[in-house]
Amino acid sequence: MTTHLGLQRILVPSAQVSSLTTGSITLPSARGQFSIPGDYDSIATYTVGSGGQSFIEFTSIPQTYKSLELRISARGAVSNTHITTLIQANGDTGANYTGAELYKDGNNSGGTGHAVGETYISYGPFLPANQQSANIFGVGLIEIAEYTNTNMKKSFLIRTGYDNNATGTPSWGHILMRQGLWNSTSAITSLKLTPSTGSWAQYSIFALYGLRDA
Amino acid sequence: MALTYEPIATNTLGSATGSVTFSSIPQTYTDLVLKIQVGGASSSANIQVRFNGDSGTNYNVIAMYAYNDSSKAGGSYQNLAHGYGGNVALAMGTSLQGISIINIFDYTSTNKFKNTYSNWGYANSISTAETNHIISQWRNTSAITSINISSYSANYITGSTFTLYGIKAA
Repeated sequence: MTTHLGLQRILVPSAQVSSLTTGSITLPSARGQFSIPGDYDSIATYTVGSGGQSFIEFTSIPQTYKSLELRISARGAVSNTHITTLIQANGDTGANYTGAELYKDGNNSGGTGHAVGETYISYGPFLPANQQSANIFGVGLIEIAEYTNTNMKKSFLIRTGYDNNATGTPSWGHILMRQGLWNSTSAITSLKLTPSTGSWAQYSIFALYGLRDA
Repeated sequence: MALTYEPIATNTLGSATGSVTFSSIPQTYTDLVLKIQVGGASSSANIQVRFNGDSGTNYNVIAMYAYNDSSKAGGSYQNLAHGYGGNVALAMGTSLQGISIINIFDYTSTNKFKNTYSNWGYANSISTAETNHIISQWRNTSAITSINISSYSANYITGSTFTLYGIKAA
């Protein structure tokens, strides 16, 4: 263990995950009482248990970082081909979200999409559901820069998709580049991720990280 | 104190080679990130990714790309003998024009096939450039303990760097 004289501080985890009915939430308390935050910190992680989960919400997000990164490996628990992730910030359920996408499907179709004035970002991570083969999970990388900046509307950069080896229904995968906007200059203090239908499947994992600037 | 985002190993090539392997990968992280800056000894170099020594046709890929700003397309490929991290530009002298960032999610899970999301691109002249987003899947629920990066035919040039990072969730 390295001791940093004169620079010790107490790291108090403050992120919470609400509506926990199954699964586990872990906060970086295992670091001990004294720790030196690095440039890239784990804020909180949620792993869905056997009962599934209707939504995930990170609350009391620390305001001490420059940007946030959310890393997702997940699947929808619903009899459907896929689900998309609906994203809301700070509990805002108003028509204050827009989004866009560029995508490519494995059947060689592709295209773009756009939506305005929605009550959530509908262009969140695009993930498989129960009509896909077992063990197939999708991925999502969400980056939110300047999330505490009260001079900026909040942008979400999203990379996502999954492949199914031409099995399942439909028999092709998807890869997408998506963008979302929360039309608010408020600092982001909470993030809620809800599947477009059904619930989150067991073993889905949602990990929130904070990145510092220089 | 363990870091959240921690370099595991770096391989900087002292001589040209067509294969790099990271083995005995610690099982203590949540995700892995492989960052590659590379040049090819010829235009036949690319980045093929295999896990745990598996060279069977157990990989599939879906990609979306743009090439030279004049064409954009994608493709879906099944039952490959490798995942895919990108193409590699012919090096201009000793300069390394290509970069690939490969995210490997939940690599220790024994309940999931393993997914990677790769962003890569290169430019090796004023008129030649390519960018690509790729999802690769290894159809195996085993935890990943080794990663091999290899080229289709041409070697990676001296000075190419391959760095593996671990990301530890709370």
